[in-house]
Amino acid sequence: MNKNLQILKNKPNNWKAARGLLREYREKQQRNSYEIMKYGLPLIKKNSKRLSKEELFEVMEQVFLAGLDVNLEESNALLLKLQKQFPKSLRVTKLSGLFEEAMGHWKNAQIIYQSILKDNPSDQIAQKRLVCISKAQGNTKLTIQNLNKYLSHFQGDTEAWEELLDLYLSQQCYSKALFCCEELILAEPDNYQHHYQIANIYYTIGKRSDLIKARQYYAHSIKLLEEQNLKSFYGLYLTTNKLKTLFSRNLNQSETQINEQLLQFAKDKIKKFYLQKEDNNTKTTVLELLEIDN
Amino acid sequence: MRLDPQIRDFVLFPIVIIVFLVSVIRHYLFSIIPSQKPAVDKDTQREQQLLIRSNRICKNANMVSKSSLISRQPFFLEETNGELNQDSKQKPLAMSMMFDPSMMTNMMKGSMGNMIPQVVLGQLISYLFKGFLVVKLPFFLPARFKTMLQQGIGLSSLDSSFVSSLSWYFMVYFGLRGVIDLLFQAKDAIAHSYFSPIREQKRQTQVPRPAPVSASTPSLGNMGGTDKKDTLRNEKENWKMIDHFFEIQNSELELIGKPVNKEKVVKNQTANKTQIPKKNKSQNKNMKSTTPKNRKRNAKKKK
Repeated sequence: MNKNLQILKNKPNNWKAARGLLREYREKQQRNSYEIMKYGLPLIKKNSKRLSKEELFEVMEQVFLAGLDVNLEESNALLLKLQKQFPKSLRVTKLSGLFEEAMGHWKNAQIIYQSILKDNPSDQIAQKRLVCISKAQGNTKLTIQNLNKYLSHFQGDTEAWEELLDLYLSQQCYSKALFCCEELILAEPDNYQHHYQIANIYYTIGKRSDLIKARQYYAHSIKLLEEQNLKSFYGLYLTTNKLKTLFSRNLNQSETQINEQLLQFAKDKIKKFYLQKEDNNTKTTVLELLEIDN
Repeated sequence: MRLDPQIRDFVLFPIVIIVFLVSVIRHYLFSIIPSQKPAVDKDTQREQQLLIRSNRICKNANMVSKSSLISRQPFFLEETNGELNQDSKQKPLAMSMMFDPSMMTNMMKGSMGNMIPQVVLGQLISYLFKGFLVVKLPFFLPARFKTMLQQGIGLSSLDSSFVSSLSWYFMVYFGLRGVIDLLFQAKDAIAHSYFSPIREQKRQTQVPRPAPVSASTPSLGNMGGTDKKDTLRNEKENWKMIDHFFEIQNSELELIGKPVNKEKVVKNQTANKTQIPKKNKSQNKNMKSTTPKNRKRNAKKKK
């Protein structure tokens, strides 16, 4: 566990540990809202003099963002303080837009972001938040349109491609989802999750060539990470099983052999994983199911 | 040979102190003067992002199937409407930009802010502490350095490792840079949130290195205003260099210990260089060839 977090569990008033923890969260841009609120708020209220001015306002912004998830009243108070300190700041205006979003006042939030865009037409954050508003309202079709428009401008934004992938999957547009997933792989080829995801999509589509591709991508995902990647092994097992049962006529001899070997490989790994665990229902069920030969 | 303690007290240490103080003052001065964010306009932003994406695709093309690559090509490479065949809308760094106040402060801070104090101090020191030697460098230098390092001393036969105060100043200047960075590191260690301008700049300046331009296209680098038009076209070089081979197919073979395919032509996947799909009239029609040789052959077959 995090060193600072450990200290804080024992001594919650340790301001140094709190400051260190918040710095870490800011550096890695993690969204642990509960912890930030729990340890950041006393830091602002009691120990504000121990932080330099620059850092104090960074922490205030951080706690404000955490409060949007857990405690809106505190966020409101912090927002007022920030607005008093920086009256015409673009950054604080964005935060006020976020606050309106968190309160659910979509119209107000839209007005704020559009006014930002009038003066700063190239502002990325405001454009992104406009897409988020339509998503929060539940309007998937409109969100997909807006996100496509955003992506036609910001083609390198990996987060946005991920979001579009999720939206397409929710609408079951698998070919479009495939395109997005390929973008993710091209952007981050070492990330095992993208390969796993695209393998899932190929498996879902389910034609013979797609199943083979799915199998290959599962294998690649395993190659990138073997330790905590049991889901890829499951994927591999299911794909090879499906190929064996449904498409055995369409595979020539060498392909059948490869398939069989991969099936055995996946089976062995899953078995091995469960044998390491303590005895419970899941373990016995899985081991029994694996023994059933199709 | 011993160093005169007076030289040591009144020359060496003062120079160190002067350089140190000037560096510290400069650091605080720069943090007071706010650096203006160079306003990125929408078109430039779009093109930067386009180049980032194009670069990524070309770099990692082996991770996706050939058909995926081909489906992306028309967007970039199509003759008239492809993105990489458009003129770049980036505004060149014309001379008029230099007098824009926001650019001015940036430029001043950047190069001039470092250069001017250095030159001024250098002149000052060589004026104040002139006419005597200060240090002996522990390494041997060829004779040509004498004119540079022994300013103000006319002895031509003197060993070149004895240097004047100006060279001591330079050594101290470069040496203390590291110390100053360490000193102010704690202050700059405050991590920045997603919304801070520092992070925004980092996100904006992720522009990739442009594609290697061949010798035939003359380019003046960042100086020329005329060649900005071709920033997008230069990216096409990257696409031509893609030699696609679907690497993922090897992973499953590796898992079971089979020998991998390297560049072999595998069933369902061709390992040819990428070709831009041409819009042929006869694409959908029957592809029987009708050269004279084949005409005869086809005629024979009919019989």
